[in-house]
Amino acid sequence: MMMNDSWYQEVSASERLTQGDIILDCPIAVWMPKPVDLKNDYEETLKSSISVIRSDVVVITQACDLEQGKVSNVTLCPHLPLKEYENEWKKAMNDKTPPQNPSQKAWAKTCDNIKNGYLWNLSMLNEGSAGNLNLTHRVVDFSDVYTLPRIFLESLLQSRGYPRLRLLPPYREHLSQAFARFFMRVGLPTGITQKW
Amino acid sequence: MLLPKVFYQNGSINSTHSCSPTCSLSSEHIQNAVTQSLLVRLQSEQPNNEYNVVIMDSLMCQSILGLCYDMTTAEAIESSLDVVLDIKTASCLRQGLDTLIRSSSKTASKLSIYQALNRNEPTYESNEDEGEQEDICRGVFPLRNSVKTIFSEDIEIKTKELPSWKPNIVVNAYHFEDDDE
Repeated sequence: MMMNDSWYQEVSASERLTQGDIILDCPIAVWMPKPVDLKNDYEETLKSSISVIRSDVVVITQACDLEQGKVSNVTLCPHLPLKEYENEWKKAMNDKTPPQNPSQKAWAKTCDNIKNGYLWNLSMLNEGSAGNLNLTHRVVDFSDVYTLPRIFLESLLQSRGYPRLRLLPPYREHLSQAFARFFMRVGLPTGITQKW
Repeated sequence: MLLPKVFYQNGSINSTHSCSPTCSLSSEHIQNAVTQSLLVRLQSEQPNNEYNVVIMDSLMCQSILGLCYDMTTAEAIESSLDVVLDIKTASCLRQGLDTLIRSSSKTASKLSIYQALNRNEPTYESNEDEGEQEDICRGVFPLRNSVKTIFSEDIEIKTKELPSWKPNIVVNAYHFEDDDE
């Protein structure tokens, strides 16, 4: 495996997708998070339950599966700039009962926890640049997972025509491992009693 | 000879010639045009070679791959043949070519071409191919997608106007513990 100090490389729009590719403003069709009643007009009800959102995403599908053409759909996880995550985090704190007004120290601690992998559903991407592209620190959230057809994604990127950033090894595997940990984790009803 | 420039896009096909306006052609026309272009070019450049023509269905990329497995990239085929491939076709070509190059290089047989083109459609034809099939599968056995479409509709969207994804942040005691430190 090639090791690299740089986190990212710039790849052209026509480059085939691989794990760690960062796609900005990706349109994603999702079911709206609302109750659905299919008793009436089945098709119309389903149609009205579809929504399309926009998200920055990173490719999670194994690089070898993409390289070998084993998959026709690509697994993606959303991510957003650390600053935007901070705003959302503060909102969530304020929405608590009673409302919380977290200190800067609390936010710094949360960032450390994300960075160190102590929050299972989150991972942090380093800031970096490659070619003419720049990226600020980003928070990847494994709680939401999307799959989009590979053909759709590759044709979208090609038609947009501009280059994208790609996470380099071993950073992309580090992200992939964090994703795996989130799904494979097992919580114990009772932890180990400390008596030493 | 001036070859027509052909755009092949999943059934929606357009063809332009540098001397004529854009016109619509059927997939059969396109396939014939591309095949003819390929044959003319290949036979003029390497008249002594025999070309292994394998056409398994109407997919243009399969016929191209059968003719041109000497070429190493889809881009080389495109530039050499004056053919513009859509991303699906190019991707299919690249995958097929990659597998051919990795497996038996220039001695690729009809069988390996067939396998290269049909890696997503495993068959159970004979036991003697099991070793090669296993090598190609490498622990992942993708089945052909068989989905039933409930409904389908074309919609126009502007990505920039879509609502952006927001994280669902759950604040629990863990966060407050950190705050107290």
